[in-house]
Amino acid sequence: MSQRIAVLAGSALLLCTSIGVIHSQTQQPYVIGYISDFSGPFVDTFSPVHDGFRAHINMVNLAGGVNGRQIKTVVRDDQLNATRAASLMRELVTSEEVNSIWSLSLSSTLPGIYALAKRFNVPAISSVSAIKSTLPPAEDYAYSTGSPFEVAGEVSAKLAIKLFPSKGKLMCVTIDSAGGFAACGHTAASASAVGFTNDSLMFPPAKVEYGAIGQRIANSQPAVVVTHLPAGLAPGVLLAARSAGYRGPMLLHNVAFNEATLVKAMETAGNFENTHVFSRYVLAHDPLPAVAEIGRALEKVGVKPADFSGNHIAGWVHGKLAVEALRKCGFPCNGEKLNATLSSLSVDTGGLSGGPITFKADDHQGTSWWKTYSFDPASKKFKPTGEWVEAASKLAYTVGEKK
Amino acid sequence: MLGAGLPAGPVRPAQGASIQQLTTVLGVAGIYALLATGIVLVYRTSRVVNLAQGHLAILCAFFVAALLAAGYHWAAALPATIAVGCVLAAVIYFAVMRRIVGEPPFVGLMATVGIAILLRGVMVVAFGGVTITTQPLLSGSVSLFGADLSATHVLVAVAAWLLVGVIVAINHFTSIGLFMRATTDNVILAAQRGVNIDRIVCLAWVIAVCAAAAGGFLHSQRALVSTAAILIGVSALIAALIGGMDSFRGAVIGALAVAVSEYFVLLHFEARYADLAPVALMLVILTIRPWGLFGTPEEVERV
Repeated sequence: MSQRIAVLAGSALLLCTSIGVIHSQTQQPYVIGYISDFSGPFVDTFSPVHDGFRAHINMVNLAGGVNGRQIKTVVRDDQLNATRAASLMRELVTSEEVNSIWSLSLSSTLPGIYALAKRFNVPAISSVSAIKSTLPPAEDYAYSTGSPFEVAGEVSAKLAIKLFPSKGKLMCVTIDSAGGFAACGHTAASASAVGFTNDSLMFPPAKVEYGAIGQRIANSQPAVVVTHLPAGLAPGVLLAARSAGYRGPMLLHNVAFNEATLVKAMETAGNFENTHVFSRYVLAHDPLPAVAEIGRALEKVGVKPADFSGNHIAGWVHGKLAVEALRKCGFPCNGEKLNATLSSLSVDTGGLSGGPITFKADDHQGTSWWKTYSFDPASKKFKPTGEWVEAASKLAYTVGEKK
Repeated sequence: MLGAGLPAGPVRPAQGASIQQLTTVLGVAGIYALLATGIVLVYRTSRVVNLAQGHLAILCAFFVAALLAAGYHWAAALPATIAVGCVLAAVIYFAVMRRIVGEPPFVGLMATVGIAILLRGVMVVAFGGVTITTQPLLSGSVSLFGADLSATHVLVAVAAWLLVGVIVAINHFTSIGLFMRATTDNVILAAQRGVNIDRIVCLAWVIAVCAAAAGGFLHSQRALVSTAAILIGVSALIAALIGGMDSFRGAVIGALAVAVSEYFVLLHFEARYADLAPVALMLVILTIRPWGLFGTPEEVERV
């Protein structure tokens, strides 16, 4: 008898859920835009970020959506071209009538997108790159869950001094770009304040042969190297520096590189010592239960476990912010209403960062938390080293900008 | 205090820096020279400036890396990649280049631009456009003149220059090379004397693509492979332009000039200007000698 009741109750529950899902599918969906680099030079950064984002949206949609409505994501490929990105945004806003633009690609595409966001009254939220427009005093309609180079620069020296209290020379390595200039400028200012001496190396972003860069690092013999390099560049420089004979500590800012590529670069160099990563969000190697949950959600959208990286987690957090913003915005939710929602939104990352992502009216970046991971040669994995370190979005140092 | 037990500072200072620097420059220059000789070979036989040489190199690097990642031994993966390169070269020649024989030079140039765009798309679609590493053929280090050098870097430098020597030797000391030179000198006369121009030009493309494949593989041995790495083709083209588009000797000298200028600026001056150095050098040389250091003056044509 009790078995029959259980079956009936189960069937009723299933029926209700199905009706709920069908109902939510027949309702007008939320339509959001997503622009990123899917075939340009940083496809290996932004494709996993998108996988993480869509894995979260997929999970929410399967559970009935937001406010009973599905989220429809209209995706476009900017090929890391600022002009193309701006055209795509115009098309998404006018033709697809999206209420927001998510992810975006590298910092070079952001100024144009943010200018259009303000003109169309449609918020644009970056996932990886972040520029000063989102820092206090923030520009209207410009938001980010990414890693601003200025903030990362300031926090990097604080993390370095915790790891290497013996101080000495800190060498900042980055690419010759506005973001790179800001990163190393703020790294140097922050490093001087905690007692390091400074050296820096900026090289052309298009460089593909790092032999001389590695040699220059080896010749400089710094006490610690801090890199602010996007995607594949950090593993490349690590490989070159190790091949040139530098065995000292390297602290790499996780600007959306894949941990597996970094491990392979270490294997190629035949050196697994003294490699550390600092990141705004946890890495895929982190033993946190939430990370395992993301791994399972990613498998449902076709991502192999071997390909799981911190980029997926950054995308997942980005998706989480999108869902919470839409939930609080209600329906209908146009760009202006969503912008008002975002400007006072706080989203719990569930342990994927040291605290919530909190936007305020004049701060569209919020306080960020950073964690260091050290590579463990025995397990061939990055292991967390210490606690989260807080970094304010209001910069502590004033650094000249690259013209 | 976090991680107080972690070692800090350089554990092992660079030993024999100058020998190490020489090895690096020779390795990089060797890869540029390998690609540049391919560009020169195609230009000599078909008057086409191949702008897809870097793309061909990196596509082959992706292919060999995929085979190695799939568990194939490099002794199988390398010949398989060379074989694929040969087929690719034949397809490029018969599907595109053969059809534009006799057309103005810019047609061939634009055809290679199209091929380059297509190959880049193939890289993204087939290999996901990701950044990858390949397992080095050699591990550890070798001691040379008191310097502790990466065995892989030594292998890359030696193999690259050996292969450049093989290509130059084919051109100078074999009957195929003789036919190629005859085609370069006077294609109509060569055809009248029984040289199969179709076969010779196709063979030039095959050798050029094999050189690109070898260059791509050697590049993957000392650096990461990504779609951005196609830019090694630009360095090779600058080397060919500096040396003269129809000169093997020029390609070799040009490759050395490009590698040394890049390296010198990176190491001793503002690293940000490293990419400008070879371009500036090329502009200076082309202003003085538009046909390059060792090129043939009458070969220059405005495109």
